Order: sequence, then C-alpha cells, then structure tokens
Amino acid sequence: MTSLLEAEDITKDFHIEGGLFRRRRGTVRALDRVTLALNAGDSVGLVGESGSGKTTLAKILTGLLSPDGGRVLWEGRPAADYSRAQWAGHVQMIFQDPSSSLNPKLTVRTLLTEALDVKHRRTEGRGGSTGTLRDEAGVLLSSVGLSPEFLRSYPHQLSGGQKQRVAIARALAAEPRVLVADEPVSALDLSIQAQILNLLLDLKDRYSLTLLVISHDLAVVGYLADRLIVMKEGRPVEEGPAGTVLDSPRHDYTRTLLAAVPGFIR
Amino acid sequence: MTRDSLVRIEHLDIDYRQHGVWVPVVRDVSFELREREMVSLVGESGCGKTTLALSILRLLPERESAVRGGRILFDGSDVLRMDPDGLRSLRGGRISMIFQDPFSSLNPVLTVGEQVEEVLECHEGRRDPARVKSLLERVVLPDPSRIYSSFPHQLSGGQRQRVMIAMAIASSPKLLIADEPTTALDVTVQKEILDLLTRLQDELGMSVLLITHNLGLVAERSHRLAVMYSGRLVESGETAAVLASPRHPYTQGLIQSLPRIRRTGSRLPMLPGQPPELSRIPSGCAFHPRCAKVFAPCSREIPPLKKMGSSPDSDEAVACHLFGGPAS
Amino acid sequence: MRRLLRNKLAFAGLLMIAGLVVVALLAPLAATHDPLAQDVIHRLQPPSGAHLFGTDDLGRDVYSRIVYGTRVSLLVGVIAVGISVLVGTVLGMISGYWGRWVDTLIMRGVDIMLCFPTIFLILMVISFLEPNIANVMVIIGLTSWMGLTRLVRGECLSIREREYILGARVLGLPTSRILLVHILPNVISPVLVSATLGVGGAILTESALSFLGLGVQPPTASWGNMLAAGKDYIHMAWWLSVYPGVAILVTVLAFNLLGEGLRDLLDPRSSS
Repeated sequence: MTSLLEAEDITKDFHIEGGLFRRRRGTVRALDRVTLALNAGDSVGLVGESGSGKTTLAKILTGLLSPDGGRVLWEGRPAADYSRAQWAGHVQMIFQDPSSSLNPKLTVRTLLTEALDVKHRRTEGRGGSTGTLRDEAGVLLSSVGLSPEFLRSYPHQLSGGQKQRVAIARALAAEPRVLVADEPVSALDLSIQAQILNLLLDLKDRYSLTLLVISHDLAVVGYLADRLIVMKEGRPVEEGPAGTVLDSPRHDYTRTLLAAVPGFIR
Repeated sequence: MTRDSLVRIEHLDIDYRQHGVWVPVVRDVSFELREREMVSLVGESGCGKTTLALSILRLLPERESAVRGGRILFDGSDVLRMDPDGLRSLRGGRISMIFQDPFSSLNPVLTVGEQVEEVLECHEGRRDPARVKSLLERVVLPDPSRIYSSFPHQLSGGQRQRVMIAMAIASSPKLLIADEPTTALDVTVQKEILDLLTRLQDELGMSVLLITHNLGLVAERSHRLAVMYSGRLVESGETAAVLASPRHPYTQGLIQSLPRIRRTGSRLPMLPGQPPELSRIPSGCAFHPRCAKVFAPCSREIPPLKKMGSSPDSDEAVACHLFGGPAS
Repeated sequence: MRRLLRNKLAFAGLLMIAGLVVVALLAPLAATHDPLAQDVIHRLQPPSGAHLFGTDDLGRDVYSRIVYGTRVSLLVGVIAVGISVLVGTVLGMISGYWGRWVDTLIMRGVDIMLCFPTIFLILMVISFLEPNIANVMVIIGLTSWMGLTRLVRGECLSIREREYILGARVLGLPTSRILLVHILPNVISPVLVSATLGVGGAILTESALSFLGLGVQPPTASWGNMLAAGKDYIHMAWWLSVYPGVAILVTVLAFNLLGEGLRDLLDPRSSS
C-alpha cells in the first residue's frame, strides 16, 4: 500500500550568512536523513525539544521550506508534481500561538472566506460567490464549536481558545487530508487545552483526517497519537506504537523525557 | 510541622485600570507563606497570580493599579506602608525575583560575569570575581570561567535561567519569587531548573513562591499549593493532598482535564467555557457558569475561603458553597 | 481617531493642516486682492487695513500671495511624498518579501542613491530640466524614497516570518493577495508616520529650490520665491520676508506635530 504522505531521507541545512556579499559563515544541520510515512487515518506524534528539527520537518511537509536532500511524496508522487494550491488541499497546518497565526487586521469572516475561495478555485476552477462563501464560513465555525456571530469579530476580540478554533477552521477550509498541528495547545490556558485536544480528535473522526501532532509535551502527543516518533538533534531516535514507546522506552533520551512527566498524570 | 510566617497577606484587594476603567484583579486574598517553604500559586492567565506576587515587592505600575484594601506583612513589617529605604532593602535584598524569559532579563552587551558582579557589588560593596565564580558553581553551571566571560546569547535558555538564579541568590534573600520560571524552557531543562530551585531552597533556607500555570511539573514540587480563579483564592492545601483529592470543582476540573500520557480511549473530561474577563466577572462565585455542581447560592453569594480538615493546624481551605464548616 | 483627539499637540497639528487645506481650496475667497495684480504706486506699503501683510516691490498684496502660495506648498508636499511613498513601498515590499538577489539589488541601489547629497542631486537634475512645479514635485519625490524603502523592507522581513503569513502560504493564497491583504495593512502605519513627517520636508525643499530660483517661477506665488524677492528689501520692508517665513514655519510644524502624534499613536509599544 502506498502511504498518503511520505518524507524520504530528508536533510535540511541552515546557513549562517554574513558580510557584504552574504557569504556562508557556517552550517547547522536541522534534519539529518529523516524518513517518515503517514498512512490515511494515522495519528502520529512527533516529540522532541527545541532544536530537534520537528518544526523544520513540519515546514517541509507543508511546503514552506524545501529540503536540501531527499524528497516528499504524496501518494507515491513527488511533491514537485503538484501546484501550491493542490498541495494546500493535501496538507494544512495549525500553529502554536493563535495570536500570531491570525492576521490582526482581518475579520474572522475574511480569514475564512479567503481560504474557502482558494479551495473553490482548486476544486471547481473558479472562486465561490459571496453568499456561498459566507454560508460555508458559518458552517466551518460551528464545526469548531463557535457560533456564526464571531464572523464579524477581529482576532483581538477573541480569547486564546477561540482564536485557536478559528485557526483550525481556517485550516479545515482547504479540506486537507493531513493536518499538521505544531504545539496546538501549549500557548493556551490550562482549562482550554482539553477542549482543543478533544476538538482535534472529534474533527479527525468527522473529516477522516490524518493527524501529525508535534509537541515537546509527551502528555499532549501521547493523548492524541497512536504512533510516536521521538526526535533529537535532527534525527529520529525512537519510533513505534505509542503504548510500546511509553511503556518500554528503548532510547535513553525517551527515558529522560518520560522522567520529566509528573507522576500523577502518567 | 509549624514554621514562622514570612509573608502574611490579609484581605488584599487590588484594582487595575483597563482602557480607563478600574477592574478588580485581586479580591479578598488572604495567604501565608512560611519560612523555608516552597509554595506554588497556580492559575490561568488573568487570575491575578502575578499581580499578587508583584504586590509583595510593591512593583505594581503606580498609575495603572491601586491597592484598595488589605495588608501585606513581610517579616512583620507592612510592605504597603514602607518608606523608600525599606523598599530598597526589600527589593533585590531580602526578596529576589526571577522571570519567565531569562533572555530579556539579561543585558545583551555585558558579559554574564560583569552582570553577576554588578549585583554582588550592590550588596557587598566590592567586586569579587571569585565570589561570582562560586555563585555560578552553586547554580551548577559547567566551566564557570568560560560562562563568566560569555555573553547572554552564547548560553542556552536553561543556562541563562541559571545565571538569573545566581543573581537572585547573590543577596541571600529570605524569599525568592519565581514567575513562570520554566515556561520558556524544554521539558527536560524545566526539570533540571526545578531540581536546582528545590535544592537551593533547602540549602539556603529561603522560601520560594512559584507562580505558574503548570499544574503538573512545576506545582508538584512545592510543599503547598494555592489555586486562584478570577482574582480570588479558591483552594489551598498541601500539594500532594490537593493533587490527589481536590475539593473545589475548578481544581477538580483542571486536574481531570490534564492529558494523561496514556490515552484511555475516551475523551478527556473538560471544563466548559473560558475564564471570565475582569470587566465582566459573574456574580456570586465567579466560577459558577462553568461549574457542573452549581446550585442555588452559587450565583448570589461569594463563597468565603473555609478551613477544611479536623486538625486545628490543617492547611486545607476551599472557597465553595458545597463545603460548610467554620470560616477561616 | 478618538485617541488622536486626546493627543493635544497632534490634534493641534491636524487642525492647522485642516485650516491650510481650507485656505488652499478657497484661495479666491480667502484672498483680498488678485495675487498677480501690480500697483506700482502703492509698492512696499507696510501692513495696514487695506493690505493686511503689506505690499511687495511691485505693489502686489503679500497676504493674497501667501494665500495662493499655500496651494503650491501643499500640492508639492503631498504629490512629492505620494511619489516617494509609492516607490518606497513597492520596492521595500519586493525587497523584503522576495529577499535573495532582488533584495541585494534594491538595497545596493538604495545605498548608491544615499551616497549623493540630496539637495545637490536635485539641483543637478533640475538644471537640465525646465524649472516648473511639476518637475519640482517629481524630482523631490524621486530623491526621497530611500528611507521608506528601508523602513518597509525591515517591516516586511519581520512580518514575512510571522505565523499568519506562513499560514497564508500553506493555504495556497496567491502571492499578490498575501502582499496586498496580509502584509501591506501591517506595514502601512509606519509608512503613514514617515509620510506625514516627509510632507514637511518636501515643503521645505520646494521653498529652498524656489528661493534659489530653480523651483516655482515668478510671477506665480510660492513662499520660497517670495522670500527670495523679499531678501533685497529686508532692511526697509521686513514684511516681505517675515510673513512667507512664518507661513513655511507653521506648515512644516503642523505636519511634524501630526507625524509625531501618529507615531506615538500607531507604535504598539507606546499604547497601553
């Protein structure tokens, strides 16, 4: 069976540039031959600390960065075969801080309709009419648990949890098959985190999404994912079914991460 | 085990000015911090925990905030009535503070050594590189000579927080206030910093007030725990006891909604809604619109903080109409 | 807007500018005489009831000439800055969003332009062209966009890495929409401040050019050429120099006050 989304031998270097002619001063290897396969319906967790390369990998999978080595495949075909708009219908992403992932100058309605418009152009060849877009935006909002009256709001008028819901709705507007969630709750208030985690699981079921959850928090990843990948310094160090990795970690680094989880939530 | 009281806050009320209107940030908070004790003050953003901590140092923005009532006693003297000399000996002397972001708290153009030395000079009146290095060793920074001549950007986040801690303990304070000290750090580094704070607290015999929204990793370390919601203290008690059997429905909801690393299959229990805005705090118990156990008095009367447990020196207290008993 | 009203100095600037605009629009009504009508018998009259600011060496009414000069100054200020904002914003956004060699090219271009002392550059160019009001506006505009380009590029560089731009790219939004809808509104505040302050500068440059005889040509009234004409009579007719000077001062001050006020207002660090 061909995987939905695959990353094959991905390598990514970051160059430190300087001087008048922007010469390379040094190189940092962010990802070192990383291979990853997501099958339809999977829920995969990527755990690691800052500098582990997990966000770089997410940016490569969403097409924000191009890899220096290796390739990204969709249903067995290289990413280069698809246009940007087509790729948007494959993979969408939600970010850590909903305060900075929504443009402060635009209303929720604009944020949602512009995303819906791109989807209409992709699937039907032309943009949606104002009425259709408005109705669809309302439906999207209620699917993430917000009432349509929020369409008129600006991001700063919403609470952190509401903003993250809007960000999720915006990603869903593209009707993606894979949703990448990069630290989806770590910027949210404690009593809101469970709401968003449950929402992600609900949406995964309702829209048959494939989830890739990225976090430094084993509890968040353990709650959402069936399969875990532990990353350290640009390389996966351990991979397997969530239960196996958490019950009998093989790598020292996984054990260190587990030791940092407080006893009463193990 | 009874210890002498170091900080005693009595019926404190603090308002903040928000868009020209005064809103309540801290309401009727009474709270005690004893010597050689580590207490965590837990709550969500806007619950008043940082305001409460800053008020102990009288560091609230003068024009934008106002203490409406209550007393803050530190070592027996009233902080709110202290003269400038008294305040100076308090700030950075008997009380130190560390913050969430160790990067913006350090001056980027001075070496770590110069900055620690400057703090030491303020307290001891002389420059002493040897003392600086022993302080850096004390907070377990590897190769103190190298760290001494490093600039802040050359250190990792955890190392910078260690430097901040070194500067904070330079004056041998009686109280260290740590405002979200590990929020910006990786999990494994968080654990190391907390280990360090726990050890220093014990070795130096100081008290630590940990302000955090992290009910797990951070709060677990403290002797006692106090939970705030919408400006009021809703529950306090020994940390292990509160985490094991929380009384207030808010504390219960928070603890139950923490994701467990092993999914049990079903969805996480969750608290509905969100914390209220300060300008629109619900009547009665501020938590009642989100509470599953709400009943008649909840929307009318504000529940007082009541002492729980049978023994007279019990620390457990809860502010909820579900619990009767004598008012504390 | 309400906060602008609370900032007293900025509000004063705004009121002064509004007044100047009204005067410029209604110049025929505001003037008491034809600004070009000569009356050699009543030349060099001191200020009086008949001639509020006196008359010049050809007997023209100084007050009416200043009123008509308002049109020239505001027009030059606004159009010149308009040109510089247009060039600066477009180049700055291209430079900041695309980066790489485009950025290098544009930024080295800015550096080269900044190597020339602006006033000499203008003098040099204008000596090849016919000195008239249109050329003056275009030349001032085309020699003052460099600062704005740098400003917009800097803003753009930081906004480009914000998560909402990354999100827009992941959604597959067209680049034109990302630039116009997502980036432009977020860089417009500093541009507005810089442009407002720039109007004052452009008016000063126009006055300087006209004073040197390279700007607006007599008999059309401009504050600069009035000053130039007045300097020959400064000992016997102070009003020829003082009133146009005050007009320049007031106008530049008004734009600077408004610009400073806008800066305080739009800077997120200064708002509570």
